[in-house]
Amino acid sequence: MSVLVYTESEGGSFKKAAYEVASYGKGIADQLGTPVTAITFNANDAGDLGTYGVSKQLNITDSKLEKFNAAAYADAIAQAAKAEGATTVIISSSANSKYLGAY
Amino acid sequence: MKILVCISHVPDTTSKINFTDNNTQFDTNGVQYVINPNDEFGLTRAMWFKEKQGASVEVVTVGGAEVEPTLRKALAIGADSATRVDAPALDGYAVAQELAAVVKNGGYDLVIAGRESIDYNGGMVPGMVAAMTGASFVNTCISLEVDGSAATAIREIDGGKETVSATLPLIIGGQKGLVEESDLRIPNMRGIMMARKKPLNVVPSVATATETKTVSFEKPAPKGDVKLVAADNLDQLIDLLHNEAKAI
Repeated sequence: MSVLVYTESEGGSFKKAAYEVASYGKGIADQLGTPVTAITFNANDAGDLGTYGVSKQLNITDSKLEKFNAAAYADAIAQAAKAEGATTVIISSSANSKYLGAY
Repeated sequence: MKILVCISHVPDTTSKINFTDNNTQFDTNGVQYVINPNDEFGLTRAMWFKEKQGASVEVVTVGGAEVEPTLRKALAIGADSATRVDAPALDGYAVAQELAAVVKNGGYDLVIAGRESIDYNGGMVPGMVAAMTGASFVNTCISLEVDGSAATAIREIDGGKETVSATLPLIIGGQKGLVEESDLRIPNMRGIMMARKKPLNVVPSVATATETKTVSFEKPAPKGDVKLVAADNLDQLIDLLHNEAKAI
């Protein structure tokens, strides 16, 4: 069981919102007594997510997912949530995250 | 082209917001309701398609009989018919289930919803309806053109805009930009009279589940007093920020 956070990246680098959701996810995870897992797409490296409380990162590398695709991203996040047994999934309020959140 | 515009019945932004039942229910006393502004942009764009391309325009909302004046206003603006799903709008998931059933039964080419309602700001409904019906979906849509079965839309993204193409059937989450505020229509007397004769169908609820339950509402804390610091008194400013506001 874990808290899953979607950490957005652009051009392989994490956006500021990624660190915000990681930090928020850590707060929720501490309340639940579970670790935080982050999922991202085509990130160049792990960035500083560990310092914000992320204990595990899932980086999906697929050239077909280089451009944002709400349905495909949502499907991948849903699969990750299932695989990780995540009871809470956290996304930011960016335009893209709100787009995929509804899926 | 057959268009469905999803309408939310929301409090006017000038309404005084209060809660009842130990802060678990919105107090509707004295509240004026309007068409959700994001939906109104979509409705106005739909009217453009009706007038320029011969589209038919239906409107739908979820709610009790109290939402019918809002639907009648949409009819007065020019929609051809209206549907009210007779169910309380409990949460985004429940509303999406109701709307998805209407969309599936109606065979619409284009479904226009607002990107979010201005009451609860969930922003979930159009995407959920698209997922439930298998239609293409464009959110935060600020421009839409349709040519035959092909649509070209511009959507707002972080720091810019993105132009996308899609095939009908399509669902959009629209907002300001679909039309400008100056293009919004105020119903005239003829439209209001005609709206009384247009069909307003009431259909039963199909939703079986809600995903959320309101625990409590609370208003934002009132703003504190403002302390003015002279422009040349940086020491006092730093002292206040450090010791009082604890911001630095």
